[in-house]
Amino acid sequence: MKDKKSDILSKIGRDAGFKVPEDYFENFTAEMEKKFPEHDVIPEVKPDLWSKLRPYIYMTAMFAGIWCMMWIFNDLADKAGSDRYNSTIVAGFQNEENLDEFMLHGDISEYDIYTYEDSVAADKAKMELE
Amino acid sequence: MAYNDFNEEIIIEELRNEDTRQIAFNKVIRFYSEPLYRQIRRMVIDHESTNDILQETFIKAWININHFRGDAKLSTWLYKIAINESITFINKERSKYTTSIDDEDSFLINNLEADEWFDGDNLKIELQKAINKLPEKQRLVFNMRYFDEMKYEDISEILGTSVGALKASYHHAVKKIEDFFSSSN
Repeated sequence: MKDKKSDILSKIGRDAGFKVPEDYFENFTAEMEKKFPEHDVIPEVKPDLWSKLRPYIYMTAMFAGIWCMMWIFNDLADKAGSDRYNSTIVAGFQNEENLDEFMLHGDISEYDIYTYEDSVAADKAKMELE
Repeated sequence: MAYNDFNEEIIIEELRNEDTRQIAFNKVIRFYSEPLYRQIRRMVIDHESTNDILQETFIKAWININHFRGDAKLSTWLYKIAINESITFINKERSKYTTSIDDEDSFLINNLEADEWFDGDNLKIELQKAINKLPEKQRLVFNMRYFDEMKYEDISEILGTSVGALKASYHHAVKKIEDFFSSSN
């Protein structure tokens, strides 16, 4: 694609006015030729099997870690749920004598028992549905 | 270019071979020192700094020659090194002379006026002032396109920018240069 011509640029031209000393490029090449033996080329490093596999192994380890953490959290959540629904405690509360004894000597109100029974019933219903 | 015996494919093969590497690299220097010099000079303006950067460009290329895989053109690789070296130089100079990154690079124009290897008239100095006011990328695109008449495709490979964006950049640069001249008249 041709660029749009600018009047001012056409007037100035493409010579920026930069000059170089006489024989500069010939002398430059000769100077550089002398300099190269002072600088060693960095040898080519061929990647070994470990460096090729490393990113994939790291990624696999990361996913395995995430899976383990999810498994642990899930297990802990299940255990916490089963602690709330403890069949021994429930059976104990269903026995009127135990309940009276507990209310008499323990620091527990009738309201606490009702709320506990309600929550147990709700948890049980949820577990049955699952 | 005076050096006509330059076949990039053969040169790359020779660069890969340790026995022929140095002779091949001398050919690379002979072939590319002038276009690279022009590119660097337009960025850093004065001859002495250009000479230092050009030397540094070839030394870097030599040291890292094993990292050149031949995926891109040799010229593209060399231009990239030269441009990076020039930008590093300008940033260092800028931090010496200016307090803010928004300040224009007036030190470049001071270097131009003090440079014995510049023989441009006032109009050319004004053009350099106008170019100096452009953002860095537009400055690069303008210099490559206007002075070197490089193809947009080649500039695109060197700068890693799409051809469309380069055309837009060049258009904006020309517009800003015209505005600079109309406001100074």
